[in-house]
Amino acid sequence: MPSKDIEIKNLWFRYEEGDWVLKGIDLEVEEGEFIAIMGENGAGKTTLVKHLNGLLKPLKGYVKIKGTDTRTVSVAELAKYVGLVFQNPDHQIFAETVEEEVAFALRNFGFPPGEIQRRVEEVLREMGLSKYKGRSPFLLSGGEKKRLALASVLVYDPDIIVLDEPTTGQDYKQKAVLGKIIKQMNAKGKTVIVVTHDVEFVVDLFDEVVIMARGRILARGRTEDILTNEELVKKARLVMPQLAEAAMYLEDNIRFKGNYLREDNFVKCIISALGEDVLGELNAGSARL
Amino acid sequence: MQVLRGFEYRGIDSPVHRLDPRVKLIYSLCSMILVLIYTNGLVLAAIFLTSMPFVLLGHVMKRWLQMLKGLIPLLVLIFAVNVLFAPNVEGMVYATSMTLRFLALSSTFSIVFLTTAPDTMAMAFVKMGIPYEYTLAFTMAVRFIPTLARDLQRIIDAQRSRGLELEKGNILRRIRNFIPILVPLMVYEIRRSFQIAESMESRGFGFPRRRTFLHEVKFSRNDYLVLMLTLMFFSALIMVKIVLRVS
Repeated sequence: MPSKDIEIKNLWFRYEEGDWVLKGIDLEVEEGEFIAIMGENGAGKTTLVKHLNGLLKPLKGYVKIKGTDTRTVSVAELAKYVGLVFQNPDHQIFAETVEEEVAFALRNFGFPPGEIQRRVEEVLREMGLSKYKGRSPFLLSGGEKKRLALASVLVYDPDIIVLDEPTTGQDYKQKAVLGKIIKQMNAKGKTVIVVTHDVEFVVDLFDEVVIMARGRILARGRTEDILTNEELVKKARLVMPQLAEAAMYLEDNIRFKGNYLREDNFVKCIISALGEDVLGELNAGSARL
Repeated sequence: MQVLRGFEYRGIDSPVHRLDPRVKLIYSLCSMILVLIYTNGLVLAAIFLTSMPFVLLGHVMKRWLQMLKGLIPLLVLIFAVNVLFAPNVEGMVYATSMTLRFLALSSTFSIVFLTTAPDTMAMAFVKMGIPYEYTLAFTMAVRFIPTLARDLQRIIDAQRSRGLELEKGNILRRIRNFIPILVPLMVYEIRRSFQIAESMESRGFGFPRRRTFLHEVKFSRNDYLVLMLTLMFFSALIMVKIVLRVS
């Protein structure tokens, strides 16, 4: 039976001398769920994420991780269950070698040396970083640093993995690599939460989305319902996926129905809307050309 | 951290904010000299009290008090150490003076920084003949304190998320705990400073021989007034020192 990994009830938070950043967040995440949290800059996404391992504690309401209130345990204790990967790897890289960088958390948690060795090698292989193991982490490229940051969390095998803006500054190929890694983690049974405003990344990867705006959760639901809801997307000041926008234009002219957020479905929708006759004509047309 | 807030400029408008930074610098320089030549508690208290008009007219009471509150541990330490070395009545009196001296010193500098924009301060430096490159280094240092604090917080957050416990272990272990914080901070800030230098050069920094300024600082009637009062107070106390031989 799936149990609740994360339980947030009426969470309010603000930094000193500021306005409320989180205004009554309610969110429950079950074991093994795979969710994207979206919202514009300043919506409170990162602040929310920092509550998940106790870096920030609620001023009102509560956050429970696997049933434990975050106010009752230390960050290091929570970090064992919740692996947080921040946006900028340069904020955490410090060790002399890639190997040492990855081993850092394991040493903090007191793993035995043999186990550290084994795990570091395994995770470096998974992330395609094995060849850099003796090199200085400062010399890696942007994409490699990102994977290194991810590796340094994955290595201690937390049940819940939270990634803050994993795609910023990554080229298309790196994004695809990251997407694959994230998907694999979920396939292994991890609960994965990704904070992002990269709409296309979400469409490609996630079935479930949470939308945040100005410190509140506006909606949660299936990606195809949420990201095609023009009003909601506008309210959260996000951009619609390109396919959804294209579909909206088409809807005005032809009968266009179905789940069109992914390319293959989009094409199917067009075909069914146009009907075989039109397609036949089109084919004849292209044949003439 | 709270102490630092007592030195952080906030863009509000008041007669004190509008004063020429040079006047405020002269005021704090005079106070500094007086504070250092006197050990008499009453005189030190009087010097400390000269901050009050600035604090009140400058609407910076809250920040100023925050600064004082943040200083308490340090003040207690100064007092305690002095009493420790001379545990008698004289020692107590001396310790009180030392504490007051530190208080007065912090207060005058706090006023200067609380009520003067870094840019205005830089302009005053330029007017005083300091090369622009040096004054710019000063303004940029001030400007980057909050940025640095933000980066530091992010790094601490990231490392704590990887199980780093700053408070754990003996003194040696605790010092070692700072390596994962300080290394990324230094690397990051050095990199940032190169980026800033590049972007400044690409905007032509260092090209013109003689710089002109959009806004210039100028003495107004209030500046002359405050300057006069400061110098009067200063020379009076110097006279007292020489003629009456007050300690």
